[in-house]
Amino acid sequence: MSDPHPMSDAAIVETARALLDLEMPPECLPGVRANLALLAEHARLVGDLDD
Amino acid sequence: MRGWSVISMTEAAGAIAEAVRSGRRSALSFAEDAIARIRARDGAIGAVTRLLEDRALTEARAVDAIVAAGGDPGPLAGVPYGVKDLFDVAGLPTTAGAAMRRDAPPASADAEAVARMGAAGAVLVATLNMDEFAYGFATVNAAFGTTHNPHDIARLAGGSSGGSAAAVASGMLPLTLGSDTNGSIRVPAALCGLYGLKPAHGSLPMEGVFPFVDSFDDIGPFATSIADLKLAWQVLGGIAGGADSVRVARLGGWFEANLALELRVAIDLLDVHLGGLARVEFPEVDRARSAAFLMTAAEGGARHLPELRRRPLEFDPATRDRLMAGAMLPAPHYLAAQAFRETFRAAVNALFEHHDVLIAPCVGEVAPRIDDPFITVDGARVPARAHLGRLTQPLSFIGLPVIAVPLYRPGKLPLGLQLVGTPGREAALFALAEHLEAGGLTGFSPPV
Repeated sequence: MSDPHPMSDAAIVETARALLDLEMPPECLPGVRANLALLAEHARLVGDLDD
Repeated sequence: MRGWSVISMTEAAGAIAEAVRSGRRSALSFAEDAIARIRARDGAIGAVTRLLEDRALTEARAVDAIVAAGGDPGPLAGVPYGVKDLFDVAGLPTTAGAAMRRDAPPASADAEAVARMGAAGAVLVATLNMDEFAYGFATVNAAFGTTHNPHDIARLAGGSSGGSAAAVASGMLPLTLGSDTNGSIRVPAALCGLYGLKPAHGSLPMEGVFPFVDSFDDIGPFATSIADLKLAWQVLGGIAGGADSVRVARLGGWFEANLALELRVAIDLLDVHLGGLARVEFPEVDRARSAAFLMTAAEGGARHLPELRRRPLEFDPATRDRLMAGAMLPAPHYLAAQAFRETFRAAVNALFEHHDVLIAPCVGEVAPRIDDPFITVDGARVPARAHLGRLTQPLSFIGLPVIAVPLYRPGKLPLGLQLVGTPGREAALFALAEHLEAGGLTGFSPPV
């Protein structure tokens, strides 16, 4: 499965820090990236509030 | 032949209670037998996280004292049972399957469900294994081990209430309690060949149950017969009433895709037995499942964010990475999922104007192997831990009551169905389940 999530590892780390005050350990990144991709697919299926 | 050659099952809960209430046999003897069976069998299964021997013997003696004094200990008199390790048990830390909670402060009181079971005379014997924080369908736990399926110990028991299912299917206990957020009672019930109840959302007490996703969390029992399941449900607070009608249909579309041939044939046979069923379809089930997935990730991530900040490396990595991603989900996606839930609920409610029970499969195939934890969906192999609930998740998304029933398949690996109802009309679910069991189409088959 291709990874449709556009965030780089650096962007994931920075977003987690800025929005959640969460320091993401490097060993979490592969799993978090994969899960973000999965959530992005589900979000695409659900659509927007206007749908 | 798998596991042990001849399995001796525990007596049914109803039969135990009748024997104890009549004074024919002591609660103490049933508790001692349950403890002995756990000691003999759980090494191969891995269902039990804590054996509560002292508490069980104390509770059993109290039940016997009531009987000796001419009293009635209640409808579950002397019935040994266990709880998923997320129910508060007074004096013990509630681990929720997490290593980091082994040293949590002990619960100051029993969960309300445990209190109700005790008030009905049941005897708490054990806490039971689960996926960490109930986030998974496998009961593969980095800290407490993997729970094995009693029908084939090389296979998954399902999850997240896998310990609760395996303890009953292996004959160690006649009744257990679990929790179901997206399928965590129904999936292990199907894979272990048991009855399991996911009640209407919010209808059974959640006080003292470690939460996962408030929008979907419920508790419910596992049992080997519909009579025992109903007994436990009523003790927990379920009100059955009478079934005015039992209009049955089968769910098509999403619920007929990706099924093993033997499951499709079994549903067709059941259809014939019931005189030919109409097929109905829920609209946009894939969207409902995705919306449930998003809400679960977001609410679970938000709940655990403080500990993810404080000690991320103490989580089971598989759970942690899902929770972290969920915490990062942008709010508009959560709100869109929540909004779609009301659209989906309205469409499904319209179907229940014409039907009382809808029949659907529970899991599309038999339990996956532990060394190959994948299932097949649309021709692709996908991880069982995240996908075993694809047929259960759209139903709990809108809080429907569901009874998981096992197809009667002696000597074969279990397959299960969901009898899906609507809140307030649970009596129709039990009436159909009783009819199917009496007709020999559904029922528990002990492991061989």
